[in-house]
Amino acid sequence: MFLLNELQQDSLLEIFNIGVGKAASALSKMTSEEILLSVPTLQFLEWDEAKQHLPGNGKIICGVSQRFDGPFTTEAVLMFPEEKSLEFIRYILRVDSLLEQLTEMEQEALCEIGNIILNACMAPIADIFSAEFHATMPEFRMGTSSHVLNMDVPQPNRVIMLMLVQLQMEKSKIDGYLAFLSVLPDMQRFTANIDRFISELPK
Amino acid sequence: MTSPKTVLIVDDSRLSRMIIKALILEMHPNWILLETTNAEQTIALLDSIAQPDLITLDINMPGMNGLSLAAIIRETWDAVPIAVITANVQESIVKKCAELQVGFIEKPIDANSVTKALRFME
Repeated sequence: MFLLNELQQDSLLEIFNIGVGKAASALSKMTSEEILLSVPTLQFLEWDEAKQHLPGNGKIICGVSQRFDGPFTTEAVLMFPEEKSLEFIRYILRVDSLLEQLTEMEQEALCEIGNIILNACMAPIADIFSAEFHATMPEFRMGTSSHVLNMDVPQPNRVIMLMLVQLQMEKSKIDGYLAFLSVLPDMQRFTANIDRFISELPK
Repeated sequence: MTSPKTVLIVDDSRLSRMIIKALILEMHPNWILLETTNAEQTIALLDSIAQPDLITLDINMPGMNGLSLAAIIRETWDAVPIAVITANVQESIVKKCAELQVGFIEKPIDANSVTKALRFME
C-alpha cells in the first residue's frame, strides 16, 4: 500500500486546507452566509475499498466534476445529496420551483458554480507548487457517489488517494462535500512535488 | 537584540507549526516558542504557565475550533494578543476575529504573515 510519511501527509492536508479555505470563501460570497468546514480527511485505499468510504450511503448525489492536470492529477468534485442540490442551486439563484428535478438551466448553473468553487480551490494549490493546472470543462453528474466520482469502471489493484471535506451552509443547513480523488501512479509525481515543497520551507 | 518573548503556536498541522517556528526564530533566535495542537492542550498549558506574549491560532482544528478557543482565552486571559493564522478566508471569519479583537492573517504562511502576527504584540 502506498503511504506518505507524517510530514508529507501533513503538508498535503495543509496545502488542500488552503485551497478549501479559498473555495469556502467563494461559496460564502455566492450565498452570503458562512460555510462551516470539517477537518479534511485523507485516505489511501484500494479501488474497491474506496467505494465504501464515499459519502452518500448509496443515495443519489448531484455533483460537478473537473479533472485537473498539473503538478498532480486529480478529479475534483463538488457534490450534494440530490434533494440538497435542488435547494442549493435554487437558494443561490434565488428562485423557487415546484419541479422535483434540476432543469437543464439549473444544471448549467450548478456547473458554473462548481467551476468557480473548484478553481478557487485549485488555484492556490498551483501557486504553492509554482505550477499550473489545466482543467477540463465542468461536468454535471447524477447518481451514486461512486458514479459522480467517476469510479464506476472497476480498476483492480489500483490505489487511490481520497480527500474529503464537508461543507455546511450555516443558516440554510445545506450540506455537501468537496472530494478529491487521485490515482496511483500519478501520486509518485505528486509526492515528488510535496517533497520539493517541504525542502523549500524555512528551516 | 530584543528581550526574549514567549509565543504559543496553536495549530494541528505540524507543517504550519514548523514554518511559523522557523520564521520567528529566524527573526528572533532567543525567543521561547511553545506549541499545542488543539484547544484542550492549549487551555491546559495556559493554566500552567505565565501568560505568553502572543498566541498564534489556527481555526480549522479537530475538536473545538480556533474561534471558540479564542473566545475562551479572551474570557480568562483577556490581555494576551492573539493572531489567527488560517486558510479560512471567509468575510464572516474576518468579522468574527474583529469582534473578538484578534488579528486575522491569511495562510499560506510566509515571512510577511509572521511579521504581521508579531505586530499584534505592539
